[in-house]
Amino acid sequence: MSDLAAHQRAFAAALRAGGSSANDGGSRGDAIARLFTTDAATSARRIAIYRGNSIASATKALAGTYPVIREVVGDEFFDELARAFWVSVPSQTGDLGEYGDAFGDFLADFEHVRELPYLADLARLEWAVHRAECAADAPLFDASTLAEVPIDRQSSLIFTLIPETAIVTSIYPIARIWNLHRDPVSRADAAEAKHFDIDWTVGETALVAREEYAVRVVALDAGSAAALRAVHCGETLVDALASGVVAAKLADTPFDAAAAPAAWLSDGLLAGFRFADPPMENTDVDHP
Amino acid sequence: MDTHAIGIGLRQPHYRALLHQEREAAFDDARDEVHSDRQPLPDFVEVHSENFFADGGIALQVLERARARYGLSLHGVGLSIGSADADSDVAADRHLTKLARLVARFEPELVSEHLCWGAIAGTHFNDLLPVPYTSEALTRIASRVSRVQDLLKHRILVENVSAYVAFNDSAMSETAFLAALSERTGCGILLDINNLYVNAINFGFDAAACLEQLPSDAIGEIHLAGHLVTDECLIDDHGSRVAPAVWALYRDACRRFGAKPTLIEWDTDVPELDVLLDEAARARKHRSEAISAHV
Repeated sequence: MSDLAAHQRAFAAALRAGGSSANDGGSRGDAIARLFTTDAATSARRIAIYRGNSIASATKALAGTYPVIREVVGDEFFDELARAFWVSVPSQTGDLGEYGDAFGDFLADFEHVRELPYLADLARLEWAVHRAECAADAPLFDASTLAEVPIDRQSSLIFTLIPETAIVTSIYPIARIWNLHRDPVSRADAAEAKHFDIDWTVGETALVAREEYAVRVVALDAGSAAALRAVHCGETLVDALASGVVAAKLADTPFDAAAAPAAWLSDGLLAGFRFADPPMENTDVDHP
Repeated sequence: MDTHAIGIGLRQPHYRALLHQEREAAFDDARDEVHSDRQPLPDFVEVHSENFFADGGIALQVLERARARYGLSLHGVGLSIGSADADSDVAADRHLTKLARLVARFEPELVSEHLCWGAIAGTHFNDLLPVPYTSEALTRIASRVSRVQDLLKHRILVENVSAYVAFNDSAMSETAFLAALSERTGCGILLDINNLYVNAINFGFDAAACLEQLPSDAIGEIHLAGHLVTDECLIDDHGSRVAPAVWALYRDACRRFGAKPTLIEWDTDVPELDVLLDEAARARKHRSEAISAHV
């Protein structure tokens, strides 16, 4: 190993060593003393400044990605969560927009948030929202091309959803919680009613999708959830709608399969379409 | 970029004031009115490149607006050109791909990074950690800088960083290291006057003498910011006005290097835009006084 790499490994070990407690890495004082011009105690305090910067950068990134979790647990406790997460899952990238995808899994196992069991799914939802916010701007979908699809090809039609559309399922009402915190209208209503009206017994499947530059989160009925998930997986429209009908029947909730595609279109979920089998003739209506 | 340009770091609290369409006309008037009580708008803005690495979305629209109105400097904090292992090279190349996309789309006048490392063995600390100033580090970092410039098809400026530790192995000053790096790679130097001052106090060296080690032609931009005085050492927190001693050092730099694009950075407790514009106006005043007194 080069001297430079050895330096950096020792430096990194000292940074990581004190992350989990108030310990400032003093036990590694000897290695540090050889590295730096300052004495071991001073070097340890200086290393702690860098450790604080590193944790602050990670915390700021997580706070940007997980505003609802932060609001739910409060700023101070969020900072503690972020620090514990930094210790457990350090960043691997210089682009902090990529940091924190495992925060939901971390919260699921973190004993100090056991009394908030919905937090993990809420975090998974917020990660999906973050991904959607950063997604490529979707090309405008020209619905008139749909009308040109011949009847005999309609059964092999496959819709593609706009980039980073996501479906997050939970046994908790995560879409409701998210909107109470992030959607201005839901938030204002709750403020007026002076309480958050949440039925904790109802699980929700949340659809996350960009609408121009804003991301919206809506709770899906069982039929729409099954149908959209099938579309998301690349199934044909016919198969997806059939899945929706079955799921709606099982859940005993309404689902209008005939109206669903038009609703998706008007909600801006569709980016384009293709066909399951190759076209019979040279009609290029493929949309990436 | 015009060497007399004065800029400010573009941060989220000021997006609306600096970029919002409806206020555009009012700002254009302010720019033209000599007797306006409003401070003039900056000539350029600088953003942290990584904040605009997304594939799409609102952030890039913000940058489009900034690009349309001001000169643009892309300032990176995450490339880690000083990392010494192959893992970090792979991560850096992914990072570079995103940076190259941004540079190609926005055609910034300036692109810069730091003389530091942040990642080793797969972990990224997302901080600007110092390197020892050795010939090994110089060889290593020169090859990284050359690769960056090749991939970006753009000259980069490399910035001196503030530091709280110094290495026993260092064989030269940071400024001498930067001068050698510039000579080897053709990169420019982003001289952060506050960082130089912070280090001079933290490690007890003569900052003004360090200016003498820098080649004037290589300096492509100057940074100014506030720092925090603590019992332990000076901390570069970009959280206050530029300190009097840092202004004095800036005047030294202006006398030595002439006018260079100069930027006010403020990242912690970001104040009202007017405070930043006032700092920018002070920079302009200090520089013109320093240069005119010199000739």
